Amino acid sequence: MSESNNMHVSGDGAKQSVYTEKKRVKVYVLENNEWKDTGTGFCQGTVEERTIDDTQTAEKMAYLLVVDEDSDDQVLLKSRLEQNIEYQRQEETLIVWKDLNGQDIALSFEESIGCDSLCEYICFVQKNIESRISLVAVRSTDDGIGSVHEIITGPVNLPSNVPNQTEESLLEALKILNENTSFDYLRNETIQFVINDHYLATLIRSFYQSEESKLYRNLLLLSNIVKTLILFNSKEILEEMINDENFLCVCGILEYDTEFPNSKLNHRQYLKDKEPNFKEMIPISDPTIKLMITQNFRLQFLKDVVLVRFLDDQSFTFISDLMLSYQNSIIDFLQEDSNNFINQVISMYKVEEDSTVTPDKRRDGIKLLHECIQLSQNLNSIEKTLFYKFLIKKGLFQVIQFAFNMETNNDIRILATDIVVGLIEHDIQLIQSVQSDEVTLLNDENSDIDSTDMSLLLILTKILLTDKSPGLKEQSFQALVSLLDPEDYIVDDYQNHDDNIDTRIDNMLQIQNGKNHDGLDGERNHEKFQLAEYLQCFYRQVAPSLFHCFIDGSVNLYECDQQLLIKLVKLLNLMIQGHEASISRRFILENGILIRLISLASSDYILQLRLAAVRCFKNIVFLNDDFYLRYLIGKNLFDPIFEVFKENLNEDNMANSTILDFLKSLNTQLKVVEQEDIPLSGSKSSRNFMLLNKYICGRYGDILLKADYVSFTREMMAIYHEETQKLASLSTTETSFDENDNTTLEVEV
Amino acid sequence: MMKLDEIIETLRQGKHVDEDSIYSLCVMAQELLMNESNVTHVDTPVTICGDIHGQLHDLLTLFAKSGGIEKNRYIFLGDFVDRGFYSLESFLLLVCYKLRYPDRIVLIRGNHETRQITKVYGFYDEVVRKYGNSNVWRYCCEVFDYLPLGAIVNNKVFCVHGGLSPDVLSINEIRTIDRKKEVPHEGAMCDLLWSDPEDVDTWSLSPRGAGFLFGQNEVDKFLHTNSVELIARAHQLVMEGYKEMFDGGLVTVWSAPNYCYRCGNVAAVLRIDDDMTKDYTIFEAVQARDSGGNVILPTKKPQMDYFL
Repeated sequence: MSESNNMHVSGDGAKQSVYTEKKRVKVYVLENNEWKDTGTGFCQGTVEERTIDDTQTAEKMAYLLVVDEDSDDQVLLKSRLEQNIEYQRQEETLIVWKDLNGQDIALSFEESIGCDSLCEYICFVQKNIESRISLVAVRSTDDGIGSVHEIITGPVNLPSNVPNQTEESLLEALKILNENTSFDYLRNETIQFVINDHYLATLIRSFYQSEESKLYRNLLLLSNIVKTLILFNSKEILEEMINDENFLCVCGILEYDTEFPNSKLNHRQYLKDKEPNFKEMIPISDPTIKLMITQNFRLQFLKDVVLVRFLDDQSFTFISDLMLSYQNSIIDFLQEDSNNFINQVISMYKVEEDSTVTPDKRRDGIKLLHECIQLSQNLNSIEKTLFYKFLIKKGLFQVIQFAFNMETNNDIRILATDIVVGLIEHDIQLIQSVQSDEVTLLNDENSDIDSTDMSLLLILTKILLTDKSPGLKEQSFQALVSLLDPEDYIVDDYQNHDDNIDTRIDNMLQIQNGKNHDGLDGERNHEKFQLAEYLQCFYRQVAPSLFHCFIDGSVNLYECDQQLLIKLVKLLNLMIQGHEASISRRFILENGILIRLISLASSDYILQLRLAAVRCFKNIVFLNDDFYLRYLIGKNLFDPIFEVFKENLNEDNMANSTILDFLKSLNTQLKVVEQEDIPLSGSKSSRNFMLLNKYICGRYGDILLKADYVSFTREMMAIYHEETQKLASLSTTETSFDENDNTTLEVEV
Repeated sequence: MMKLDEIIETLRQGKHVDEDSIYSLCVMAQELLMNESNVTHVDTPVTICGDIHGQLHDLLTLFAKSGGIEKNRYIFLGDFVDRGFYSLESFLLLVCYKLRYPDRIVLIRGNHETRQITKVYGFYDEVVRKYGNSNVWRYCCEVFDYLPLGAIVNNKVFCVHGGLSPDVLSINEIRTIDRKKEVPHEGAMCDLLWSDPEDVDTWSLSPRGAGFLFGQNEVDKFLHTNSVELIARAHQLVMEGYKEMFDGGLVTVWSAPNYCYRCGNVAAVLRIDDDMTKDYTIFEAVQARDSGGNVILPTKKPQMDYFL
């Protein structure tokens, strides 16, 4: 059986074992640059074992053996796997290599599964018999031009793991580790080495020696080695770095940085002195969870402080994902009733005063709950909802109530509001459920707190109107914006996490002008109904106090906090734009709010407020609502706006731009009307804008003409004149209404 | 409430300024900014600066290398925040300078000066880490809405963060934008902050998903229509600090050296003199030191005690 020229050892006394099944294959050899077919046969991987006489040791020799398909004793190929031969798997069915004699050989398998099995065999041989051979997969790239090489198996160069590391050995280690990041195979082998051979311990030992002997170059090398290991993105390595034994040392190594060769950070000092500690308010019995809490902190510290300038996007994501897995486990733990964790926190705020709970402990509790919300930020939406519902069910709202009513420390109150904002921004329906739960609860306990489902809105209103802290005002305002934005209720697939009120209003305008909500399905209708009920409650119970200064004529607006007025104007804007006209318009018009609102555009007020009022009016106009428009025109409410314009007519400033923007938008609408070519009797939309143009040009034409630095003011006037002429010629046509007649201001509800 | 000069010194050292002081600063900044045009007129000599991205110590170097705010006029082309670890201090320092020397500094809005972008790219997280809540971020975002959209130097150099817009043929048209809003996803205001120059024949889609790509044709047309000589913009990392394109009709200025603390680029500022000559100053990232001469390595503020 040993006819191959390559055989160095005779078959005598050799024991042959077969490692693969027979796979059908064609054998080629390269001769004169051409592949020559030398026959078809069955390929197997075999190993021959032979005792070497002088040493009595066993030697194993591995072969790729191909036997002719027609005759069992006809060997087509017997090629030893030895030394540093590199086998290439090309595409699915080809194995190609050059043997030690320089002969190029190719095996072309009938099926890829055959090729798979022989490749596995090569890997087996590399691992167990001939460690220096290698197998590389070669695939052409998608564009067909280039090729990708990937090591499947082969010798792996690993750093020296001797106890006494030198500058040379560390430099070599860094070089090797960098090389090994490039292929998955080398990477995985290196990771196994680091873990199994306790390489980190070697590095740490060397670190202590180097620091003691002030071997500065070694320290920089060690730092770079640790950083390179982090880029391996291995959970095992990372977890070894952050365990109790190693974390401080790893941070120590990373204090040295080649980028800043003349200085050293002081992470160890920070960790020891400032002690950002795990404050275990409620004892946790589960050691795995305790470990995860610590590890989560340590990873955060690595990511945000120690490695902050170093991590690439991939490693950043890797660490973030690992943290997320800890966070998920921690949140899961908190929700297990058997742990009683959240119960214990929330019981500190129960109505019956527990004298053993100190104010500081209660403050810590609020910090802890705030941290729960922060910790859950990266969870997926469903997990978050479940967790928040859990907190609410356990009585989170009682804690909030406590913070609002009893707590005096502003920082803590701000954290409490932040919790509310966090819940609302995630899912507004949550608060609804809080409120209804809370109502029952409070009623049961005969509490004297106002027992309506508007209690949260009322609290927020009170903070917004009366609290001195700008931070709390800001947050309660944000919370009210979220609570009053119907988008958050109805359009559940529309993720409006943009908490800028102006953007929200822009979105609404787009929805109103473009989308039609006719096709609401049953569920939507139900939601819509609930929303209407909720909003009606708001307009009955909350709005009158929230907008008291706009309703009560005896309040001197000039004496109000103007920053607060800006926020109120923004809220009104949101309500007018976002709530069904049938609900909001009555409140707005019956209380004469617009009259007071536009008075804020007068020169008594700061410009931010004046322009906020102008923008609110602009948005009302483009609602294209007959009632509002007649009201505004009938009461000549545009006067203050054109006062602002007159004042800034020749100024190139924000006031000027804001009004130009308004006029430009109106002119654009007029052009749409013209294109539709529907004269006076046309659609509601065209009629309203033509009407407004007529009013504006008639009343403020002289101001418009002075704004000759833009073209649309002239265009508006031209349309006005054209329409007046048309009107004159069609004297029988009734004009839609008399602008000075405001007796028809019945408001539909 | 701290005094302005006191705040400036605190910020220069990268130290904590209290929430209420920041609130007052932001309200004052709004009042000042709203008197500026959407495209503010600036006289020479002036130094034009590109992206800063929260690299406070490099911003201090910028001022040191270019003569300082006490004696020079500056235009900043936006992107004060995100990426770096001192977005808050960098932005507030510029705002304080604006309040202290209103005629000597113009701050133009960049595409990062928005709520949506800062929530993703670092500024929001930085504020939450430094203050435990997001209020300060909200105050700053409110100021962003008041920042002008561009500037023009001696009627000859048009300064903008991103680039041109198909909706803006003449600079005068920018005047009719009510800029006090979150940057929209499309339209003139968006394009000015998002567009990039590129070797294209006509307006093309931008891979950024907002704004456009524009080429020599658009630039030539814009320069001619508005009789300006140069468009100075930022928005794109340039390894050499600045890059002139289109026969000198446009320049990109980048002022964040070693961007993200690892890109290895140098930074530049562009000085335009009374005779309209251009002069670039190149500078590198240098090691920051505190008042005691100790080295400061840029880093995020570590979190304190934790309960979970």
